[in-house]
Amino acid sequence: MNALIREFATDFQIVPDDPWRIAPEESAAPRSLPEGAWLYPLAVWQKEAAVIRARGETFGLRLLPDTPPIALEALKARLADFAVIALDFPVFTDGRAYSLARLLRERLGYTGELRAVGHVLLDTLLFTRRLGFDAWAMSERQDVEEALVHLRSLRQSHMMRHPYQ
Amino acid sequence: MYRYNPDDLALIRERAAQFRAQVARWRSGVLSDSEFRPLRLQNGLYVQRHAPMLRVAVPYGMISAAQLRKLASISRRYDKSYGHFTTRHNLQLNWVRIEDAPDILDELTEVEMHAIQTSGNCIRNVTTDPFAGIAPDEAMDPRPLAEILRQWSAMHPEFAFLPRKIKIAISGSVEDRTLGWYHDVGLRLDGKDSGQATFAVIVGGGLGRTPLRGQIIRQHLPWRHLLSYLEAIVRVFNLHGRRDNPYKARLKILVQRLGLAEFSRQVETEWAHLKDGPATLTEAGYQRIAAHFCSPEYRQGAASAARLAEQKAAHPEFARWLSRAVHPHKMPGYAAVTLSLKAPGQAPGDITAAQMESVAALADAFSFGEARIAHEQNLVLADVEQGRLFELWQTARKEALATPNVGLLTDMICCPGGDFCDLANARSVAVARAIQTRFADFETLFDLGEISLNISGCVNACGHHHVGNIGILGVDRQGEEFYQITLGGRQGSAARVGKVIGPAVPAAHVADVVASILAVYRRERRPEESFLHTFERIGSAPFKPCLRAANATQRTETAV
Repeated sequence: MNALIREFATDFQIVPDDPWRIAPEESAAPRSLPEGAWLYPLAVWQKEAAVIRARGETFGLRLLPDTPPIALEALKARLADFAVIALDFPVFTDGRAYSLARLLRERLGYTGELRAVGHVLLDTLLFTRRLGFDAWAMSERQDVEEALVHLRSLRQSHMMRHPYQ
Repeated sequence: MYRYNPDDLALIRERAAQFRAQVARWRSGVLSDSEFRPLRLQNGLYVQRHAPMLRVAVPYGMISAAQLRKLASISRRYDKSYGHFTTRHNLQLNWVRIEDAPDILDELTEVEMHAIQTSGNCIRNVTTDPFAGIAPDEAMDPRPLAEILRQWSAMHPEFAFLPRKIKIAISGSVEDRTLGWYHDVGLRLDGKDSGQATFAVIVGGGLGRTPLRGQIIRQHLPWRHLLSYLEAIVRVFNLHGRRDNPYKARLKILVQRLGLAEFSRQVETEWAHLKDGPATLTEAGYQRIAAHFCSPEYRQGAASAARLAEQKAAHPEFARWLSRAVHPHKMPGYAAVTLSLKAPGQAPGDITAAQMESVAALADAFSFGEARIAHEQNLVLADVEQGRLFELWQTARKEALATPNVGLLTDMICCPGGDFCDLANARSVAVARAIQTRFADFETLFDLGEISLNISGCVNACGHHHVGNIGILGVDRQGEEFYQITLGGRQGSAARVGKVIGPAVPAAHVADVVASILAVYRRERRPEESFLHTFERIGSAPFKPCLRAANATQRTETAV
């Protein structure tokens, strides 16, 4: 996975030794995967939740942008089980994950790490940060130090309340 | 009008700085062309046929004298000393350089302006009535809510990358002057519920290649719930609109595919979660914004009926202008004045830097330093004392801003067309010129009476051809420019699209065909009957032969 930036209580930092890996799409996969921290596709989790739990690992989820909101709502009672939920951007202009993020945070009360993966540019940090993302696996060619500067500088004004509020 | 607070200003300055950095990253190859494209579009920067084009937002059409002067100065420094007003309260600069765009955005921030979300797949500039706040048929000034919509939609994090653009119009009057039926979302004041304004919400309208009239998804929505309801609509669109084909991605296509009932069910389900949440508007918040839009200090006794009558009698040209350019005002003694940007030889909506400065001076002298952009691509001075109309007219005519053709045939809506735009099939401005030349005589124009003629250079319909009484659409026929003619379209509360009356005609014949159509109208009309009413009464059949003549000529020419 590419360089990861994570928001901590007071600052944003580069996480040098991020353990999370994206699990393959095949539903039989959990049995054959080595031990570790895996982000499972939703379909795999839906079929193999018992197997995944039995492995005794900390586990996470990776959601594609076409995930139906209703499937997320079905997960509501189990959301606390996931240490990380990664929302995938096949291309940075696919904005569906933006709505999914709000649903997870605001409606379903998910409080674990919400990570942007896939095509993640400097240019969408402010939007995703405002939607409750707190980790970013930056795409290649993105200057990670610049991303940190960006996140820190945007922290103030873009969190402002508008005069009508 | 609304004045920025320090936070508003910081936001657009940071955005301008961010764009400067994006241009630098693109130039150094860190951002690819395909990555840079949506980023520049969201800052209003297109790459067009001859040069990049920058589209500057004039939110809900309100513009100050200082802003006009700044736009004039920008157009002189970075462009060719003119700009073009579009149908959606934007000013387009057609000849900027990409490397200058960050400097232009910086200069715009000095007068509280920006180009944010004037393009791209996001919520676009919100539009409203050019007579907002002063129209006698208005029940509620829509501008405070329009400003709230601007603040809400500007850089809304969830809706930055929608399947396609969302255009919103808001109206607070009896007669709709915002083309609300043909927006993705139209908001129309529809009553008061315990003293609180309520809105009808229209969804799924649009022109373009699939013209569809919007449908009412909800009536009597209390104003406090406008934002949460819009969030529900746009969220359903964001999650379920098509992303595989940009031509099938607009909200209207989703509404059509699901049907209004199913779309409405999904929106209501979503809204059930959002209603009364943080997006709910408060009275205090509304009042903070509304305070920026209180009426100016009108002078009592501004009317001078006797003097006006004398001036009209002494100056027939003034009387003629007065009959077209001056509109009623809620305040006795005041009037609203349209400054026509449709002078003979002028591309509709184009304005020179000198004219921008003249309008600024007129606004300062006659209208409390403010002007409006009308969607018909004219400017409006909204608060003019009736006793000073003659003085205003004398000044405005020197700057070619007092052409007495408002609402008449040559007050055309026209897109920039193939002379500038990459999408266009046809050079719409050349057709507009041909019609202007053909109908330069004011006696004829006044005899023809109220009529709207709209020209688009391609099916994207930026010139709103569908809703013109006469609509002219540029199409490509094996590399040749042809034009398809529709009749019977109209804007307003009863807006609808016109009917195609027959095969497209070659560019060279469009003015002849229009003349022929108008000749049929003059032959068939009853006393005092407008073109539209005559068309309603007699239908399209009597107009069809107008095309045959043109096409017959074309066949002959081809044969020769």
